[in-house]
Amino acid sequence: MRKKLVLGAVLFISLGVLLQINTWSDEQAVTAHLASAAPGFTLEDQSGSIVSLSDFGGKMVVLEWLNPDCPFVQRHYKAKTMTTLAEKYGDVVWIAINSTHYMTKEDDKTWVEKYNLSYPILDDNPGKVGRVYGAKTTPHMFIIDKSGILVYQGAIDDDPGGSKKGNALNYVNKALEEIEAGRAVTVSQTKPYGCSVKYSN
Amino acid sequence: MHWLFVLLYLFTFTFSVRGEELPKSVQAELLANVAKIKAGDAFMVGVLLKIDTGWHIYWKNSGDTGLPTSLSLTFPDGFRAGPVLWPVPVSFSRSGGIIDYGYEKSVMLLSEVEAPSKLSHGSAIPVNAEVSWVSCEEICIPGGSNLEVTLPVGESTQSANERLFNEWEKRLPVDADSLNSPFLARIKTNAGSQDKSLNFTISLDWSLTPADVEWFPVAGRFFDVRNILVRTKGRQGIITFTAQLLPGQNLHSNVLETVVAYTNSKGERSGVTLPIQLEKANNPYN
Repeated sequence: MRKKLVLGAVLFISLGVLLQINTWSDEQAVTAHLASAAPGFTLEDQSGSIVSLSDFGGKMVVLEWLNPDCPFVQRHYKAKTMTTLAEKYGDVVWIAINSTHYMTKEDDKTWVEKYNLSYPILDDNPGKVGRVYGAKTTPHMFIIDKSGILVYQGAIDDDPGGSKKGNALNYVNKALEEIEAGRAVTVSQTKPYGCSVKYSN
Repeated sequence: MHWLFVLLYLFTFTFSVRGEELPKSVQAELLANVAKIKAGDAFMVGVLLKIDTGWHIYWKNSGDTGLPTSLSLTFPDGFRAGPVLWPVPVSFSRSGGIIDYGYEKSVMLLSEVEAPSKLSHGSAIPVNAEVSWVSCEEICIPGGSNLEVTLPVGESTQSANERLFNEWEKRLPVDADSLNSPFLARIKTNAGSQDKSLNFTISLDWSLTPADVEWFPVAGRFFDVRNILVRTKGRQGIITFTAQLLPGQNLHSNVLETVVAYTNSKGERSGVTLPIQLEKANNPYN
């Protein structure tokens, strides 16, 4: 009888633990908040090189969530939206992150080569960093200032439908301009648009 | 020799079809609930969108991701078309805390139209619809259709597609202050914990017992609606949420349009439009 009780207790506790683990992975807390320190991360890029946010202390960092399969991302890459910005702001560290669960470093490498990117794509296919940042769409942009504080999060621009073409207001450009001029970012948060980040279930 | 030109024509035609071959996941059709238009009469037009299994398109507020479906109708001079009417949407939850609003299987977007009081008998009225969407499954595909139908003018109205239009009109949300409304709503507002944020509590007193109550805000892009909680016990419901004007943005309207969706006793999905005043007195945005 006692063995059964112990077994029962062990099973009951294990179930509880399993349920907890399940909820942890599903509702991983978003710890990225405006005006707070941006969450650190360490990921490998498309060539397997290790990249950590802490490598870039004292520099401005732009994080760009992408997914080569997403038409919103494809439209922007054809229009050179991100690459033009990355080039314009040479002192800013531009980092693309791919949290698409079914993609590999090979897919990232293909994209880097296709668009001749000067910046890396970090492999986040388990989706951990995406969830910590609360990345919901591709593209979804985050700007971290020189002291490591998150100063912008949201859309790349005000044109989800892509109808404004060259006349779209690019929020990242505006924020980077303000930061470089020593001013506060006026539009620090916008609603991001794009395809949903394809996290694993 | 002209076989060469035929071959050339076919060759260029195949390659000019819309770039890469992407599966078309949505079929669109433009319909009217009349076969003939009578001068001065009101009628309805609708775009029926048939969505492949597993795919979905978006509501006028797409939610966290995606892009709202858009419909633009063009009529000849003298015709007056009302705003696009959206059937009650469904919500799609995805991992990562992503919640979108939209439609799957099929949806018909409607519009009420008024014909001018004078129409030349025997003429044909062209109705043009431009509809565009983003449909998503594992990937997302933008799509669209340009549709046209021609409706003849007649001495008397002749209805058409009655059953189809009735089915979709039933799925349009009713006004909260109309006699058809299934509940009485009371709304309370409190200042939120963050700058320019407001906490709302909507209390619903239902005249029937609803099932699967859901709440959909028509939040613009400059407005963040979060911490949405919908609780219903019997005929009492409470919906709470926080609304915040995003930094550096202006409030474009003093009213937040929302839709309360529920399943009625007949098992039909229904809805109510519930506008929420962002009152000036309590408004931290002024």
